[in-house]
Amino acid sequence: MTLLPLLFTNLRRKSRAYLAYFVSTSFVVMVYFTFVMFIHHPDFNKEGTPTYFPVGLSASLTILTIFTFLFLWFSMNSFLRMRKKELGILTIMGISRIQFYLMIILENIIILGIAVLAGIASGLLFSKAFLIFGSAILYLEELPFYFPLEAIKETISSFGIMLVLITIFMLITVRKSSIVDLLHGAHTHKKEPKSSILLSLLSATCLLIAYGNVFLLKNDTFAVITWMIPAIILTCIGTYFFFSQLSIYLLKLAKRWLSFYWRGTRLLWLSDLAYRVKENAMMFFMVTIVSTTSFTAAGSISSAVQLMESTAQTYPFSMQYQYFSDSTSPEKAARDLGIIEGKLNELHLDYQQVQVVSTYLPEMKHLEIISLSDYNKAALMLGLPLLPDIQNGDAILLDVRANSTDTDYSKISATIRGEPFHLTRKTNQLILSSLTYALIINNHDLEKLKRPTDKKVIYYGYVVPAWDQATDKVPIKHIGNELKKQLGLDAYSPSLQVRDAFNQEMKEQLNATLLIGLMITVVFYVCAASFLYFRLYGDLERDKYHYRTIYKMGMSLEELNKSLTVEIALLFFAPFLMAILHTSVALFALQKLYSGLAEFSIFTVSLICILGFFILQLIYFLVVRARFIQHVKRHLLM
Amino acid sequence: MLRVTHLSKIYNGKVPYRALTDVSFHIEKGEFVGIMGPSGSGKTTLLNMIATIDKPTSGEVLLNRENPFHLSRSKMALFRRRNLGFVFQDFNLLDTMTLAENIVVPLALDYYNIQEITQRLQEVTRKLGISEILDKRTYEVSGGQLQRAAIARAIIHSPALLLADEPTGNLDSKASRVVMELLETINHERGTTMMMVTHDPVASSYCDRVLFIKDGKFYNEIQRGESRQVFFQQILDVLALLGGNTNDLTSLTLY
Repeated sequence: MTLLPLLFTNLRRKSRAYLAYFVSTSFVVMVYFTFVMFIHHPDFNKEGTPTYFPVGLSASLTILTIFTFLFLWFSMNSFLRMRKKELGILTIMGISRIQFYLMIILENIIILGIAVLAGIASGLLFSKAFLIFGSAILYLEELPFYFPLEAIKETISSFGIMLVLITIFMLITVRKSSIVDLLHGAHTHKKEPKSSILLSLLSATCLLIAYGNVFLLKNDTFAVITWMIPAIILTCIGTYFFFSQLSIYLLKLAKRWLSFYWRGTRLLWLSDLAYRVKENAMMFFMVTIVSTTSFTAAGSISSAVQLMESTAQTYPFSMQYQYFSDSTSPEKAARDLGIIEGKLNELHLDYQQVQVVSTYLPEMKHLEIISLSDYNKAALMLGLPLLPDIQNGDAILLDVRANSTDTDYSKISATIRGEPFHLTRKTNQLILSSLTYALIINNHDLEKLKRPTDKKVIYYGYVVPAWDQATDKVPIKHIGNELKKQLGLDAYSPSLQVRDAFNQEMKEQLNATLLIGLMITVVFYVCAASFLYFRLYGDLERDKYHYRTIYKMGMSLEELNKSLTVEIALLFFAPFLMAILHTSVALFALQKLYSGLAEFSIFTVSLICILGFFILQLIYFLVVRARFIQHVKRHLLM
Repeated sequence: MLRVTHLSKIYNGKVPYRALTDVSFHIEKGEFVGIMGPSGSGKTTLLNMIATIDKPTSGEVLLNRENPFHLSRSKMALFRRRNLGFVFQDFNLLDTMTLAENIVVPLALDYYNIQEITQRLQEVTRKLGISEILDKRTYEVSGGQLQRAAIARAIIHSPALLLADEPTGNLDSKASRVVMELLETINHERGTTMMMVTHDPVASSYCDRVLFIKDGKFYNEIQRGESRQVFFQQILDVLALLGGNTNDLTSLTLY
């Protein structure tokens, strides 16, 4: 038998072992391919397409590549470990180590080759659906199907490179071990998993502090944000040691409680569990963190979208144009306004316009001064409450900056250019989005203060009722982009702000982030689940032996089912439950963050997200469980 | 107590294989019976059928006048759990458990209450001299100790019949002797009925009676008298006959 027939026989007969690997790799390839296909779409770089999306996709492609590489590398290693015995037998028959590795590598090349083809094929199959779905989420016009030759080439070449790298890695790390050790294969005794009380306590403390503080936090945006980073770090540390130490320690405690432990099948799976948790601790940790991140992100991103829609406060006007007196000539401004109003007229849109002039004082940090009449003019047009008259020497402070504190302004007096002003009240009623910190005084005082050399900011606010009432904001975005282009402004220039266009853009951006994030999480999940399957499969020999023994001693098949189901379920859902717990706490904190801004719940979207992943995980669990039990049962009688 | 009548087993593969042909015997309560025979003679097949793990092609096995093969699958498991105890050649102790945990598996599976379990555990392990190493794992103790733990597991639920499959197969002579003496003591003191399949004439010399099978058929049976030494010699004689082929036997049968 030469190497090649041996190889094909191996592949055919070991298809069971390779199936999970094959399916997950195909899936990864599919996602990769879909991303690349999207990036290379001919319509994608046309006008109206958000520029951040390809960038986001490319970034996530990098993450995906790194992750896929690790996944392939780990899988290959666990294959080698699973097949130690085979190597032993072949070595006795005279195969050289290099030949064996060559065989494994060739096998992997074949499997990966088929997986890449299958992934691309399924990618092509679903590409239309994905394009429709993707354009809907990005509010693009539907992208037509195209034959992505470029994407196919790129997918094949990147997976090819990955394989070459792994091959090199593998050949470098060829380990020497004696034939007898190899023949014993996976059937070596595992040491009892140890846990340190100190690290277990550390884990518990970290989690308790991270969790506890969330409930003690005040409903204060600033407090929540400052607490966020340490909380995340503490949670990460706590979670890692939870899986590698605390859970082992808790299992040990549970085992001491004999009337609980020595009862029915509990004895069987509980004794096994510590070993499996310890072996998979790192993976559990990663799955927990990744899923927590994406569940929380799903919640917060979707709530940010809701938040944006619910607050017209930050952008009171439908459109706002502004210029600085020192950098833009009044002629240019008049021309710009002509273009804007011409556009509105051309589209037969009714509008109202108001002008607000603010004086910019360089000596007072970012403080602007506007007249009461300008303020009330704008407020009247927006239908906002008007401010009362202001006496000479009095002033009202407009301050809506994020970190403004609740100081008692009535006691503070401001001195501007030698004129003392008495602050009578403070308002946080915004009229123009850029005007967040200003002093409102009456016209008489303003005339007195004014100097011809002063730098001024001239704001023009437009109310366009048709836009405010529109449900589909996509056309507004296009109008906004067109106007900016005509005025020679770049996309993020503050000179022209079209509220709905901006909101729409933000919404699309958040949706794209969410989409990419979820895709990556799905990939992560699929890989993690198939990794777990590998691990289970690696222990299969031992498990067969265990259960054969217990079956002989008189364990019924139902009990065997129950025992294995409980154990596998715990392995599959432990990180998931942990992630749900983390997410709930994180969302609770975010709720506090938002509570200052608007009143709504952010749990719904996260819940949908969690439910989706739960179903995915459940399907994987059921498949793995069924296959695993089937394997064990088949060997009961041998 | 155990009655085996006209038991046959044919394995249906591509090449059907007749593993056992018309084997009948019975074991009285409290007896210690050895089954011997060369490799491939069907000893393990016989043991598996008595253990209800394998189904006979024809014939029946009655344990306490009950035919376990008439039971449903889950009832059969229950039957095994309550009526049979097993000792294996390679101990079959689970390496994720301590010895104590291994020993109590039959009781735990049957939901005994914890006082009963611990009491029986103490009693059995004291008798077998392993009470000191109960918290050890399987890889931390010697083969003889492992087999003693396996015996403890096999008798902790006071089974009607203890089945042993080459219990000394993986042990050195000293450990073998300890294990066989223990089995003998258990047989005498607790009155546990035992059936042991073995290759080892020394081990089988501890039995009350030894059955020989060859090529799936019942061959001979000898009973132990007063002396174990004499019994051992008799076993060796039968084995010598068993091992030879027909031409060798013709000359022997002349005497």
